[in-house]
Amino acid sequence: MGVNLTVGMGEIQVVRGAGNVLTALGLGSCVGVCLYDPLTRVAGMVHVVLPKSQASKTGELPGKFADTAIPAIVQRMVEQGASVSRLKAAIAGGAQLFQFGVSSSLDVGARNAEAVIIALREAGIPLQAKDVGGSAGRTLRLISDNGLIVVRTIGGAERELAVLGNILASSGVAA
Amino acid sequence: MSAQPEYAFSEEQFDALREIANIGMGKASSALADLINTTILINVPQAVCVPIGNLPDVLRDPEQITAGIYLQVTGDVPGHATFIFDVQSAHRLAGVLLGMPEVSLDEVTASALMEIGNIMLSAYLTAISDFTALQLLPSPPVMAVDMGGAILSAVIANMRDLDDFAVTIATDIYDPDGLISGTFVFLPEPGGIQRILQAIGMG
Repeated sequence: MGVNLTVGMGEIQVVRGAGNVLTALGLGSCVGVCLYDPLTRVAGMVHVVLPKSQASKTGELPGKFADTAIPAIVQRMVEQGASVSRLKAAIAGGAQLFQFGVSSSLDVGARNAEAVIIALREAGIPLQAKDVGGSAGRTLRLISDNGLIVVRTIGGAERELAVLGNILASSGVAA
Repeated sequence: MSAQPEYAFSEEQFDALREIANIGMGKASSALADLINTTILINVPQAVCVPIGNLPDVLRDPEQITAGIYLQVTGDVPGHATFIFDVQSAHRLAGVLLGMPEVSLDEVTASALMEIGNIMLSAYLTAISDFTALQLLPSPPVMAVDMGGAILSAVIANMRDLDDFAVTIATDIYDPDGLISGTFVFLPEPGGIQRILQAIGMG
């Protein structure tokens, strides 16, 4: 029986097999990272809040920070039978929500997205698709059957960002 | 599961925090009521210490489209204050304030709403300052229109010290006719709650 899990701020969720759905609701400046192994159908999502870990603040939630989140979720997925060499990634979020009366110090979204992209590169995981930046919050969903990634913004319908399980999909990062 | 937070509080301490929040929101809601000439009611405040991933649960629907007015609090209890109104309420508030029946969310209405946030937070902080003799000051507001959960997560990402757990004080505000509905969320930086409790002899 599949599960439908919500991935809260700083949380990592990993599931194995078909019929599961992982959801990050209302990503603002946060970045949701989806990882998928098409062979074992191990699917993972982490809800990254900040780009860089603060000394002694990592606590029990490595998923809070981009630089600790990616190694932590990869390890969790490998424990579930995934192979690092088969993992593919898609990311969404990193918006700059506050449009009115804003000072630049609030633009943590762009820094989050950048830090996640660097961490994925360092882990050797290809980034198949990204939907980052802008000023709109996003809800991100990963369906474990085939690694389908859908993104919804306010006032919009869900749209497909990528199918990480589609081995015929062209590689490289979508614009 | 995550470890217990270092700063877990007793039920008596949470009660005291709720009471202080109640005093502050009483002043804030009457400031709003004066501004728009309507009765404004508040619910009993929630004061909880939860994993940061659960924070958006203080909103009734984290995916609902809202107008979020965010102000930082500086002084003895640094923290983050956010007024989250559903979009229809935000339209009504701005419309009443600007004396226009129909408004859309643009620079002018945003500035009216940010001023509402500023007035309400100032009333809230003044009440708490008077009660605790602590100094609490609001910073200039910023605003976003988006999912409530997204706005709250953007505020949380702005915390200076992001622990696994955070203390949140949240209060729903509404009017008897069901035209205005919102939530006020105060997120103190770690250590701020202890300072409030010490100031009232409950630390």
